[in-house]
Amino acid sequence: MEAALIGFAILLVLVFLRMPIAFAMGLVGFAGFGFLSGFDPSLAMVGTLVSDTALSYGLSVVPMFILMGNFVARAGLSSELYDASHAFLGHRRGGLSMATIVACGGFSAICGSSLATAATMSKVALPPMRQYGYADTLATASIAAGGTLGILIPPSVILVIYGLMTETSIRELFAAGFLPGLLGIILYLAAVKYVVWRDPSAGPAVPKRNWAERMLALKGVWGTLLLFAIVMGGIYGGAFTPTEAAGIGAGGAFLIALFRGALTWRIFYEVLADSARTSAILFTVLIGALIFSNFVNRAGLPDGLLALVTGNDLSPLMVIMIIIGIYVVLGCVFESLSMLLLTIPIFFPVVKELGYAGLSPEQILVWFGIVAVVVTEISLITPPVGLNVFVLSGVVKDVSTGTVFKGVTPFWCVDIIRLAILVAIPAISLYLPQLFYH
Amino acid sequence: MADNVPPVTDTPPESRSNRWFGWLTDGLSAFVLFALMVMTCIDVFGREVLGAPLDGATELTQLMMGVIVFAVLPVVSLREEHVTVDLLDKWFPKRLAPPRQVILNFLASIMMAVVCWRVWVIGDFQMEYGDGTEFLRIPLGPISYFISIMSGITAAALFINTIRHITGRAEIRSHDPRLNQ
Repeated sequence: MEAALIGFAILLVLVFLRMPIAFAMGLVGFAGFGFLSGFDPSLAMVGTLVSDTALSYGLSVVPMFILMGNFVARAGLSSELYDASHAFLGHRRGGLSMATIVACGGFSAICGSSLATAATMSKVALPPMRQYGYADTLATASIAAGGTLGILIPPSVILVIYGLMTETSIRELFAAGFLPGLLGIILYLAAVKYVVWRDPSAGPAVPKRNWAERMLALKGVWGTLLLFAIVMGGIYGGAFTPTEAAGIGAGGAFLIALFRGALTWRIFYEVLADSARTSAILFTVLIGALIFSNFVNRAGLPDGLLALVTGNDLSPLMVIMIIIGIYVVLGCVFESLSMLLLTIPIFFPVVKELGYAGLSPEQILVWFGIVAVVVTEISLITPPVGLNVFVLSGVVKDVSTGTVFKGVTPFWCVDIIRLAILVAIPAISLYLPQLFYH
Repeated sequence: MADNVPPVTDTPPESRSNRWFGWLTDGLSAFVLFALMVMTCIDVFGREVLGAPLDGATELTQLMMGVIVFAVLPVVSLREEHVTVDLLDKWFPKRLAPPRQVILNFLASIMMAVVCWRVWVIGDFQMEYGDGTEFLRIPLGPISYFISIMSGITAAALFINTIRHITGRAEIRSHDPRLNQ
């Protein structure tokens, strides 16, 4: 256990010295494993891990979902989604921000990435909000916060990786992410309400649309609905595996983008090359994390932690609280996926062994996955490294990150409330998987 | 974009050889990625609609994954696009940043060289025992050699970065747009 803790400390130092996270985890994992078991086994372990991970069938779901998200982002579906929610919500105070949140939620249903959701939405949602005189804080924050829904509402790249690492059913995880995602939308809407209640000038109402206009706007979202229905319906219904669904989704998104005339050869190539690069970056982190977790397990950290927890008579709820606390702190430093990859191998045996609220081990895995992803969402808008906030201030050049962080505060607060609700009532996450698969 | 990738900023102008190399490896990766998508669609369509699945699609998927990930890795590394924590950039002494990047790239280069070596050993082993995929009997050795070679090129790319940081011809970028001005 000491070896693992020393390893952790060295890892943190390397990471803060700006060593790429993947290489830092790989280096510490390799050296630590070699120190405990000899360097020949350690060298062999590295080779096998690299080759097994690169040639994994299960992991092919990752580039496919990334590709789907990138095609969807280029297809311009986001503008129809936004128009539709604008038509229904715009006439309320803060209505355009609410429309942004709802559209982000809808977009998350076909895109598994939070950064892509925020980047795409900022292009369609920000101009109208500025045109009608919304405060920059509210306008940018509703996009940054709404964008975080991307990794919770299925499909979700992060849930897929969690599922592969913990051998949890991806189907059940996808089913489980749905209601917490809806809860997130509702709470974000409440946050918008609160902001305009405090300061009505932050989000003025815009002219109301009649029902004919609303129906017309609603027609624009059929592409999104169809894609969601095919991909998620296929997974939920068991017609195809998540890997196949991701391939079909990418194919569908490609066709939609093609028929809408959104693809030039150049854009087509960029989407593909971008997705490939993103996948490679992700896989490097994944391989590093696997090497590191081999070392941590060899060093007996999970068992040691478990002994520590049972020895000190901590209740499962206390342990969950501590873990969430650690996540919130780590989330300030690490980017989302690295944080999950780094911590899951350590926390998750403890959580599984301890049990929680009378859940079965399988249920705990699913529920804990959702909780971990929600914490990750929060880290995306937490200073100082809230990546979604950086995306916004990267796209909108004249708004500082400080402004966005300021605007995000109410959304951050309702996120904490959502986290508390999800921890207190696991049934919200587990109801749909139970309904579909048991 | 996935959730670990920094927002895309304008890429700095690259030398012609860099660009050429980028096109070649990016292009291979992009092509195989698209082929994988098409193949998966054909497989599912064939099975669900025509009742005739594509034999060996699973195995081909595995092999294609190796190509997609490793063909593009040298370019990703050359452009230093790996995920880093740049939280301390604001406080890190500017004078020490280039030497730090020299050391980091050099370490990473050695690590990729080790990966190159170890995966080559696996490839030798697979060739010797004639390991192949279960159904189509595609030999596994060549794909391991491919991964090994691309890891070697990645090591070289990281070494080039080391040199570039020594000669001061590389810039150091942050996720936080405020720090890149």
